[in-house]
This record gives sequence, structure tokens and C-alpha cells, in this order.
Amino acid sequence: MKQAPRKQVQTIAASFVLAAALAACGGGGDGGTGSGMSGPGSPPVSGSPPPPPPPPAGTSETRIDDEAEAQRVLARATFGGDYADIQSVVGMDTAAWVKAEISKPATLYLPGLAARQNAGENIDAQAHRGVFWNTMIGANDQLRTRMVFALSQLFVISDADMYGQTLQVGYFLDVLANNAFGNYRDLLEEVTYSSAMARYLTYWRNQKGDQATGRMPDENYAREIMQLFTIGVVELNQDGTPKLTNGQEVETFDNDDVEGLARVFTGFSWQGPGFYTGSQGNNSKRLVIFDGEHSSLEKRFLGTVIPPNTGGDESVKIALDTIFAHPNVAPFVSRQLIQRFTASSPSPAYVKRVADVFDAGRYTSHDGTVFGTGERGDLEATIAAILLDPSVNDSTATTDIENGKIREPVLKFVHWVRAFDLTDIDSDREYTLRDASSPSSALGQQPLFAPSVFNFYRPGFVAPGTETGARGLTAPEFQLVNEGSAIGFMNIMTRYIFDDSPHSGTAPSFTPDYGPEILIADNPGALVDYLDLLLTGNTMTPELKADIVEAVTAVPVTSDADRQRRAQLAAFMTISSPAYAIQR
Amino acid sequence: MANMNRRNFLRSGAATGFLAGTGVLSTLTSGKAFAANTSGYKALVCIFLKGGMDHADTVIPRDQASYDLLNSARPGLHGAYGVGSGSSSRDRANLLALNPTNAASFGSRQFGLPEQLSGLQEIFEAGDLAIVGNVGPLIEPMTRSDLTRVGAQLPPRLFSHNDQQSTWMSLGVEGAQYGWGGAFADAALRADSSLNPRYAMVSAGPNDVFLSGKEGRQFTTSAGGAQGVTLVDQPYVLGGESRFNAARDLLDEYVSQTGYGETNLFARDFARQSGNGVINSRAYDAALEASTPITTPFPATSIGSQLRSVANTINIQDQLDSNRQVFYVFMGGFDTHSGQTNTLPGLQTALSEAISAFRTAMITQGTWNDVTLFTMSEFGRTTIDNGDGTDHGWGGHHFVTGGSVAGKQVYGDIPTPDLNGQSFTSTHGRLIPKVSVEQYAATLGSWFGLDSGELAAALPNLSNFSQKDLGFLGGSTT
Repeated sequence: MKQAPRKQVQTIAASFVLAAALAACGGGGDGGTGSGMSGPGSPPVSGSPPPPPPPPAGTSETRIDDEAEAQRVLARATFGGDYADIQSVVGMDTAAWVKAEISKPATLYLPGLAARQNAGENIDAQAHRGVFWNTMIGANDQLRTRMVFALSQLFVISDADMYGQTLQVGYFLDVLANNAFGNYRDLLEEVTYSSAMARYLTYWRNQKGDQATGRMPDENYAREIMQLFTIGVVELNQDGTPKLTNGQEVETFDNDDVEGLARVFTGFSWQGPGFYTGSQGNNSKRLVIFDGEHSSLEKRFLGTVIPPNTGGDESVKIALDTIFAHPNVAPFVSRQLIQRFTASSPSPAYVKRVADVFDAGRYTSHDGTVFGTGERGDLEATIAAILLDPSVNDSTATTDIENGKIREPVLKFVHWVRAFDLTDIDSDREYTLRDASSPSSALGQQPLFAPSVFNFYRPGFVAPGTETGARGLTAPEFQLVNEGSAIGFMNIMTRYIFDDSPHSGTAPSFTPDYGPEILIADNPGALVDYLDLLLTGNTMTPELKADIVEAVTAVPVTSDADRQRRAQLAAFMTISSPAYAIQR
Repeated sequence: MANMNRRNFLRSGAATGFLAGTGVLSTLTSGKAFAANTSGYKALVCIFLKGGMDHADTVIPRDQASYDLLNSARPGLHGAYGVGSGSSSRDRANLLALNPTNAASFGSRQFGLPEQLSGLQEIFEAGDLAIVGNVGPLIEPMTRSDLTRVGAQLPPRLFSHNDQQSTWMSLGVEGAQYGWGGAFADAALRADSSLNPRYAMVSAGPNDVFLSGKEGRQFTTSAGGAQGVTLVDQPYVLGGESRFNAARDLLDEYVSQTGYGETNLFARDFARQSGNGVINSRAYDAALEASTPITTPFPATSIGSQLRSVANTINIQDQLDSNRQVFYVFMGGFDTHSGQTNTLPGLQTALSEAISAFRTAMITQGTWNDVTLFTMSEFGRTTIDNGDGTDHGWGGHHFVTGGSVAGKQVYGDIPTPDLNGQSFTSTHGRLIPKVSVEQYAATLGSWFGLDSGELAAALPNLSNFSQKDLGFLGGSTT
């Protein structure tokens, strides 16, 4: 956890009040500091290197000019920050910040879990859940952890099927963390050889076919690796829109391809002397293929033919190379990664810019920073292209009415924890965080526990009866965030905001720190301005602010307990608001 | 903003709520004469079995010849069940016999259910449950030889979970915006302006496309009934003293807002959904509190609690001004590629027990004749096993139950597992549907009160099939 010493926090809050008071004199509802697009004539003045080469086409300047912009960068690329975090990035270039995040060492999951088990702890079947919440809340490598969360929604496993096998989920999370900024082709292979995926999509100990009995290989992974992890069901243009032939979409594969590819994913099992004899203790190691159980028949799919009697590892390599070579991979993967970070309905032009980078394997930002190795599928280059794109960094980002990302419940919750510097973080003790799936009594979303391999929501979901839907904008997260879950989210956040979360033991847990807010609670306008910055990057409308100020003012103040009530009420109203729900 | 106390607010919300609930939706004044019958009370209850329910491990052939064919197509699966031991639920002798009144039309064929579906077998034998065999998405009638015919029209993206779920619910692949459950409710809402659009489409499960309509919006009810906003309704949270009442009143107004002056489209949608969620839940809560809750025990399963919510909502339909309602509940876990013997029997028990409890509750309430419950699932599964599981198929068998069901009959087709026959694809024994989803839906819709024009509008390919009503709800089949 990020715990600024309390005194320092109070100083920070006091300085905010001063700044707010000064800004208020200027009158502007937006804080008056401009939005970072000061025009082509005023580049940032840090250092004086030789004249730089002209910035690459399709990029724009990404210097973080003020606190509001800093908040929005952190909301897009991390699980949110507190006021000190916001201040710490003002003046940086987002490109440099991204580069620094990428170079941070990865927080891994398996070593800690294994150490606990080796130390004799009888670790719970779902111990990885607490570890993952703790990591989102406290890890230093925030961008990588956001990437792990994003990738876990692409390569979906559900830990419901992993009962008693928490180490195997730890191994899987490490695959995502280690490859988060690596190459998508490598990631695909390591996921394929992970026990968690093999168990979830049922190719673990998948037998080859048997002509005598008619038994066929399990087709599950063969279908979903194409449909969900790489190419999707219809041919795509580079901008993510479907290709049309005579007005019709063109399907990327048919069931013959599935049946042919299914032969590839046979023979996988845990390391050990035999197909059926590997020990469960090896579920946190790379799987192996037993060639005796691997189909020796010809394997025909997507125009590729693997000859009979090709071994398992070689067949997998050819299969993954074939799938990965499909031109759909770049737009298919790019669009979904964009949705996890910056835009629920990215424009085709945005998708194309990122997909082109995915294919080129390299991205050069406006200030000349180079990301990626130049190999197709480079995820460092891809994430840089997503986060540094003009459509999310230019001043139009907050005014474009089609821009924005609906934040899923997990992001909203963790952001609150980080912004209010909660202490006593041991997520394992929080009953809600052991399974936060219920939309009526919890968040409506538990990481790694989607209802199916189709994740919590679909990338193409268009919400019926909405204004975004009328424009054909996709809104995946509205599958979770909707009329049916509105009250449930308010109520679980109430328990946390009022320090009343259900947890095991009597020791404090998830304790919020309202110190900074109490300092300014006598001035409801300043309090709401502060939360507007801290939680929404100054995107509250004047109407919204006025409503919160009015309610907060109605809490009479005679003590610090009342000041805390004001802070809690203001926090609740902000967190329930559209400004907090939609990141811009 | 004006300061209203909660009671006043609720009243004004109730007075203006119906229009507000439809938000940006069209209020449609096309001048067309809408003819849906909305007299009395009727409810449709859809149970969606997600993952693709293995029909052949559910409605199982019981005559020796057909049973042997199935057994030989599934050596691994039946082996895992211990078939042959004499004590397996899948041993032929242990299947619960179905004695349909139309047995004659199946010649020597016989059918049974595994013991885990004993509740459904009892309802079948009591005459309140029908089986509709081999239903699936179709654009036009189809057989194996038709599949290779030039110009044959096939539903897109067959065998894909999400797309076939969407097709069952909306007759379009993923991305479709309106479901036929919603369209059926729309027809009633257009025909009768006294109906409340807020509770015409009710989900006790997820927010799927089936209930999505144009005249109303899906209402979601949770297992424990709807719930209030704690910070408003529980004074102790903010502070029990009366000096905090003013702030709570303002908060009360705040959480039911649908605007906040937003211009961003996502933010506007969020605001409207959040505010309507609060408004609708509160009115539902008030109706629930004013009623006598049902006392029928339901099993402590997900599907049990969902169906209890449905029963509770039917119980208060009068207060909600909703005499035509479409409900949606779901079960997951049917994608049994592996370990089918470990999962499917338990799912069947849960399904059977929940439906039995629901029937008891409806009979107790006196509404059993007004309710028709039916299953859907994105596809059936391969007849040939893959070891200890089965893969994605196409057609599958379904259950329809209710006091108005012409039960104890098998409708549609349950082909004998001769995998070389015209009913199966050339590999893996995937059933080619005999009955289209739209015929299945039209039969339900006709009972619900839609006329032929409304059915045709809701079900675009229905015109390709000569039989528009399968008869399982007593309608004319010609």
C-alpha cells in the first residue's frame, strides 16, 4: 500500500485548499489551468537537447500539464491514485511515464503463494483472489497489473473450476504478468501450456480420437482460441470493422477447421511419468504433451495441413503460428485492449492506429520515445499506442460526447481504495472480496471469475434503449453496470465508505483515511472541488457539483465526526455519479 | 432543486414514472391497429440453460434399439456413468418412463428421463409438461442433404456459444439489440396503454438480450427482492439524529436523478440507468412490502432463488399493473466438454427441483394456468462423445410446463440416434433441428396474446415454415 505519512497528506490537502481558493478567484469551473493543448507554438521547456526530429505522424503532445490531466492519465493506466500520486506526475510526459512503468519489475503471484504453502500454511483454495486484490491495490507496477487484469479478461479462466488449485492460478497470473509487455505470440503459447487454461477449456488430458469407438477429441479449446483469443468469427478490416463481401460478413472458420484443429490440442497433461500419472503438484508448472496420446492424424485447419505423425509440440507451434499469422489478430486484440483501458467504443480510426502498431511491433511517441522491438505482436508498443493516442490525450477527450470508458466495478472499487489511502489491507479477510460477483450484495464483478469464457461482457455489446445504442456505440460494461446493479453498487460502497465492510476477525480492515477531507470539510465547495479532482479528473458537471455541495452543506458541523460525515457523504455521491462512472 | 421528502417523491415518481421509464425509447404512434390480447393475466418464464444442454443425456431413448445406438455412440461417457452396472442413472432400466399420450406417433420408440429429473417426469405424467424435441435456429427447413444444396440458407455462426445464445434470444448473432421476449411484451404494451412498461420484462438473472424491447426496459429483481438505498433508508449510517434528515432528503432526491446535466453519451446513459434503477426498485419494494409473501419453499440453489423471485413478482403483478409479463432466469454450467458425469446430473436435479417448487407456488397462488415456463439453450451437443464429455451441437430438446400446457406429449421430433440419418450432420452426430426456434416462440407468443401480424413482425423467418403453432399450448396446429 501507498501510505503517505499522515502529516504529509494533511500538508497536501492544505495546499490543495489554497490552490482551490486561488483558482476560485479566477472563477473558471474547470480550475482554469488549461488542458495541455496550449497550441503548437509552446512546446514544453525541459532541458535543451539538440533540435529533435519532427514528431511521428498520428501522434500528439502528451505532456501532463496539470493535476486534472494527471488524474485522468492515472485513471486510464493504473488503478487510480491519491493526491500525492497525482501531483507526482504533473510536468512529466505521459510517454516517459509509460516507459518507466514498463521497466518496473513485475509483481508475481506464484512465488508468494508457494512460499506460504511451503511455510506450512494451509492456503485457502481461493487465496489467489486476495493476492490479486492486494496487488491491484498496492503494487508498484500499476500499469503491468492493469495489463494483467485486461489480459485476464481476454484469456478468460474461471477460478470456480480450480477448486483447491490456487497455485495453478498463481502460475497463470505470472504468465500474464511476465508477458504483459512481451509478444502476443509468446503469450498465446504460454497460456496454451498453462494448467489453468487447460483445465478451464478442458484440453487437459484431452485424448486423441479413437476410430474404433468413434471417440473424437474435445473441440473446446480449438474453437475458443480462434473465436475469443485471436481472430474472432468474421474477417475484419484493420480498423476492426467487419469485411463485407456482397454485403455479407465472411466467417473466419467453420466447424471443419475446429475439428481439424482439435487434433492439435490432444496429449496435454501435467509433467510426470505418464499421461495420467503426473502429480497435481505440477499444476503450477508448464504442461507437457505426451506424444502417445497426441493425435497422429493429419490436422487440417485455416488452410494449413499438418502432416500425419507430427509430434505434439511441433503441431502446437505450427497451429499457433498459423492462427497468429491471420490478419485479424491485430484489430481483434487491439480493439479489446483499447476497451479495457481507454474507450468503450473506440473509433475505427483509433483501432486502426493501434492495430498498425501491433503489426509493426514498434511505436514512436510524439517526443521520440520508442516502444517495442519491431516484431509483430509487441505488446509494449501496443499499450503505448493505446495510452498515447491523440483521441484520449487531446483536449477534445473530455468534450467528445462519444469518448470515454465505462469503468467496470472492480476499477471503481480499487480506485476508491487507493484514492483514500485505505490502511489495514488484507483482502483475504474481506468477505466481499472473496466473491464480489453478486450485483445485489457486492460489486457485481470478481476478477478471474467471469460467468464463462465469454468474460463479464462482450466487446460488441450495444446497450438497448440507450443514447449510445442509438448511435451504434458499443458499451460492454453496461452489461454489468445498469439499472439492475445500480443500488447494489451504491450499497456495497456505502459499507466501505462508512468503514463497515464485513470481514473476518476483530482487527480493523480496509480503514479509510478522511484526514485530508476533514481539513476542508467546513468549506463544502472546496471539498467537492477536491473530490472532483481526486476521483473524476475535473469532469463533474456544474449541476452535479451543485447537488453534492447542497447535500454536504445540509450536514451541520459541530465536530470532526460531522466533518467526516460530510466527507463520507461527498465521497458516496461522487462515487455514485456519472462523472466517476465514465472515465474520460 | 426542490426539497421533497421521500413519500412525496415516491408519489410523484409513481405518477410520472411510466413515461420516464422508457426514456429515449420510441413511444411509437404509427397508427397501426395493435391487436394483442391483454385480457386476464399471462406470464412467460424463460429458463436459459447456458453452455449448450446435452439433450441426448436428458431425454434419453428407452426402447432397446435406440438406446443401444446411443450407447454405442457414447462409450466413454456411458462408461463414466457406469452404464452396465445396473445402478447407473443412465442404465436403460433405471430411466424414468415417459408415457406420452401421443406415443402412437412414435411407433416402437420410447423415451425416459434420468432420475435427477424426477420432478419433471412427475409433471409430465400429470399432464402439465410437454417435451418439444429437436428445436434449434433455422432460417428454412433443413435436412442433411439440404446442407450441401446450393443456396441453402443456414443461420450464421452455428456452434458458437455467444452467437447461438443471441440467436435463440433475438434471432440475430451477438450484437442484436432486441429479443423476442421483449418484442412479445412490446406487443402487449402497445395494445394496452394501461400496462406498466417498467415491469413488463423482468429478469431475475443477467441482463441478456432476450428481454430487450422497445416499449419498456428490463427490470432486474434480486434473490432477496429489490432493496433500498442503505444510506437513505437506514438513518444510523449517516447518523441517527434528526439534524441529518435534511441531508438525507437531498441524497434521496440525488440518487433517483436521471440527468446531472451530462452531455457525454455514456454518462447520460449511466445517469438514466442508475436513476431508473433506484426509482423502479423502490416502487417494486413498496408493492412487495404491501403484499403477503409466498410461503412455498424453494431449493437453496441459484435457479431456485431466481424462480422464487419470479413467483414473488407474479404474486404482486396486480399492484405493478402488469398483466402481461415475460420473465428471464438462467442456469450456467451446461458446456460439458469434459467431466459431464460430474456436472450434468447435479444441474438436472437443480432444474427439476426448482421447477417443481415453482409449480407448487403457482398452484398455491392460483396462477398456474396463467403461467408458461419453458427452457432454451444455445445448442444441443454432439451425439458422439469425446471421452468423458460432448461438444457443441445444433438442435436440442426442450421442456414447456404450465397449467395451460397440453402436456404429457412429445412435440417436434426426437430422432433415433442413427447417425447416418437425415437428422444428423455428417460428423459427430450433431442434430439438425426439425423445429425452428421461431416456431417454438410463435406457439408461446400466440398463447401470450399476439396476433399473426405481431408474431410475423417479431419472428422474421416464421413465414418460411408452414406450421406456425406447434400445439403445445392448445392452439390450432394447422
